[in-house]
Amino acid sequence: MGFIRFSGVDFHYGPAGSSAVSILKGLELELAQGEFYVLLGPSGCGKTTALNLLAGFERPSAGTIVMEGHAIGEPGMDRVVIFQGDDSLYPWLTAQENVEFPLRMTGVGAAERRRRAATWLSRVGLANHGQKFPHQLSGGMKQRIQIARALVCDAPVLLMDEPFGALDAQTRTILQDELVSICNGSGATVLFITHDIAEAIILADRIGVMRAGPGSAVKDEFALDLPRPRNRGSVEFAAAYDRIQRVLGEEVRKVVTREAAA
Amino acid sequence: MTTASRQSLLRSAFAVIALLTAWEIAGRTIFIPAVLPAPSVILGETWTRTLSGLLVLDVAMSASRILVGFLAGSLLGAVLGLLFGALEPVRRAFEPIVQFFRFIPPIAWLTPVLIWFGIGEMGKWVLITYTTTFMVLLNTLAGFAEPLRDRMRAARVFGAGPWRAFWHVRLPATVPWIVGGMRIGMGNSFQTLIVAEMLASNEGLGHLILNSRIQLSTEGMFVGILGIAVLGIAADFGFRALTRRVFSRHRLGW
Ligand SMILES: Nc1ncnc2c1ncn2[C@@H]1O[C@H](COP(=O)(O)OP(=O)(O)O)[C@@H](O)[C@H]1O
Ligand SMILES: [Mg+2]
Repeated sequence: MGFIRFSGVDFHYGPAGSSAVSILKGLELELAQGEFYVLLGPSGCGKTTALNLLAGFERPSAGTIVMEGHAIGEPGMDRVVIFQGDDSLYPWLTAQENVEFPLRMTGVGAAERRRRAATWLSRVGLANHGQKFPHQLSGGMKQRIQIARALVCDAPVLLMDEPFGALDAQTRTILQDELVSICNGSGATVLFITHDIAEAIILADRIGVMRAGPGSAVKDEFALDLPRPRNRGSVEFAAAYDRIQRVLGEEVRKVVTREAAA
Repeated sequence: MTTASRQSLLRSAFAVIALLTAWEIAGRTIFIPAVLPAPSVILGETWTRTLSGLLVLDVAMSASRILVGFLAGSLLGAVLGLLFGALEPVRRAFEPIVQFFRFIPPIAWLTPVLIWFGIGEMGKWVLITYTTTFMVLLNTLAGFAEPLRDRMRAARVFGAGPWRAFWHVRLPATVPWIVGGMRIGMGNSFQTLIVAEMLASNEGLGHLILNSRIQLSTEGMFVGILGIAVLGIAADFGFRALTRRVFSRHRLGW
């Protein structure tokens, strides 16, 4: 019995009917408590949609999503989200105030709020940037604010939607390593979305590869029990990359062929 | 000051001096003062009127009318805009009325306003409030079209209910739109003010312009006209400086 469980989840936008394009069809997904699960798939297959369903931003058209025996309801602080891109930060708040935001909404006192936010800012390497506004910071630093804002909540579940997707390769590598050390032993259950195989291997306990849409679901799963931190140059890394590439590559080719035909 | 901004300031100063010189020469050679008084003549007239206290009174009356109407209109426009933006059914209910009145320029109301409020201050306040309200209201509503999907979703995730999401996310995101509407409204307020003062007032810069015509004092007219420009520039400058300070967290674009 998983900690989080998607059973027979269908999703389509708009009202049901023959014209509705199915995004997810019969999605089965199970996350154990404390597990770092990576959803991998070609772009447009429905990864963000799956995350939105777990976050509570959307409702399944059919099927159930259950966490600790309870159906998923409204979004809340038990499932915090790190959004794709930086459109979720508040540009009128400083980095420090952005990180304080969840604490402010839950009535934590000012001094306590400041202390906890400062702790997380320094843990993500922004100790000297707390008084800056998001537009004064680089893309990588903005994602660090998002990570601090999510982790300051001490949430049992973290949902991350391609958090490093828009960053340059060097910054991405650094942030991946930092995320490994932050999450290691934190006990949080993580659903992490990416289309980058290497990123998935560095981070995941388990990887689910999704089919090309429409009507996507998890096609294949890979368990990775390599010790952390993982070495991008190791033989085991290369072997895992190769196995996953075979499965994912086939789905990406489907998308590319379809786009070329259209 | 950077080299570039000092240079552009220098260029502007040069252009102003060149224009004033050309005007001065034209005013002294080609035209008689009753048609186009030279800047020196206008300056002299300004000085005379300042000493007599009449100009001070006109400027003070015009400025106070703008200030009252502008503040009342901004407040009303912002409150209505936020209300309409936040509550879809309210917006739907009132939108046709707003659209209807939007096309009635403030000056069209001058005659009824005179009947209702007489020639006193209240009539001018009402007209300027009317002008500003629409600008601020429509601009505030335009701000609600800005998609804040992820910011709103983040607010829900991080513990804000609908009311707090409005207060902590929608309102701050709309601030630049409200303030932008106020700045446009300020410009329109001057148009309304001058016409109202020309047609229904015994003091103010608009009255000075019209009264100078009756007294065949072209230089008096120019004192009024240039006075409006100076007052307008000063008001806009002050408004920008003040809002930059008060809303330093928001990028207002000035
Ligand atoms: N609001 C929407 N209305 C209709 N279709 C949408 C909407 N959002 C996303 N889609 C479609 O749903 C599919 C899955 O999107 P998404 O979950 O964002 O994919 P991924 O995150 O894997 O790239 C895409 O084909 C996309 O075009
Ligand atoms: Mg996506």
